[in-house]
Amino acid sequence: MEDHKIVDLYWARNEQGIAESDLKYGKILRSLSFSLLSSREDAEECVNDTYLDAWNAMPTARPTYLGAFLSKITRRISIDRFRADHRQKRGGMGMILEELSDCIPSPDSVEREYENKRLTNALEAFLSGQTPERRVIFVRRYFYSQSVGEIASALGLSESKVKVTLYRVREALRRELEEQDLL
Amino acid sequence: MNDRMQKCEYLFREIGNIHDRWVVEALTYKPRRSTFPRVLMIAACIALTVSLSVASLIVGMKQHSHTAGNTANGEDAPNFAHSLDALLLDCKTNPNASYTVLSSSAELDYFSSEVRVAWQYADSSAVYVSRALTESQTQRLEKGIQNSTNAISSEQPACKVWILYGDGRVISPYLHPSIGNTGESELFDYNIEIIPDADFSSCLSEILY
Repeated sequence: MEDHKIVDLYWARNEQGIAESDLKYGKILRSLSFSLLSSREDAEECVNDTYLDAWNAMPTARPTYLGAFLSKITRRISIDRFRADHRQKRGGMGMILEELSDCIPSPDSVEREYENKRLTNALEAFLSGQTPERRVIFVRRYFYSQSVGEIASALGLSESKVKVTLYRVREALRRELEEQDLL
Repeated sequence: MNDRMQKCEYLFREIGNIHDRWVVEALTYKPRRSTFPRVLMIAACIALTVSLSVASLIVGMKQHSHTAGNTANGEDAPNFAHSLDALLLDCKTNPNASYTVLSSSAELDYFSSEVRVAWQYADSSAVYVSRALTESQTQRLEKGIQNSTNAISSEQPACKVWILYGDGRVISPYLHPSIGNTGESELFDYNIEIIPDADFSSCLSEILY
């Protein structure tokens, strides 16, 4: 089913929208979450939470690319889950430090939002300037968290080529962030 | 979590905010495939193999006549200006060539503090390594790369060649010199971008013989 039709189902509060989302994107979402969490059960939970978030977001959101919309939600939920799990596992001093970090004044929210926007703009400009192959390898690795082997297989490249490309793109990004005094 | 790791996580999270078009592109991208007909491709491979064989034969004959004392042209080394492949294919069977053979790149010492040339023949994992280069030889090779010409995209050499700087850095004379084209402790795969000039082949010939 096309994305705009699935989105229409969400807007019509028709739960078939969730079923269609899972049919079309479930595999990608589970794979993305599993790459970050290394647990099928946790990945399944994150994907379910994704559909709940999507249900709550639409309306009013009307994403053009439903796959990208859902992937971003899954990624965010999975990262938060990873951090929460590691906080619990660390225990002892680690957990105490995490709790105390709540006491550390954070930068002004306006300033933080401004820095976030600068970094996002820098990433956008950086990715726009890459060749499609380099950009795809970068996004598959650092957005979708795919392994070098998976990327090589998907693109018909050698693992060596993928590794070298990632190295070069990381170096280029580092230079870009340094020039813009980010991070 | 230290400051550096916090920044890493921050960057990782922010990558999640890139435009949807890049997210979609990553999964829908189809690498360009050559539409060159398969038969013509096979014919081109055969023609290339034959021409390289002929070239290495000619070079071998010149080398033989040189070692027999025939130096009518006054040169001290064979003229390998036209093809690095011909030079490297010839030295594989030439008893006068000087190099080391390793069974694979895993045996390479990338931190030997010496500059060396390494190469591989197609369909073989063996790595051939030259003796250590002098500073002037290194500079000549680098100049040969700087004075390169652009390669025709379909023109892939039979031998992959790299220069190891002995400090972990690895480059290829077939790639534009740049930080992005500098590898780290690895004989990376690549597609040819440039062809170094005749002096590069000339210098390499002096290194090998």
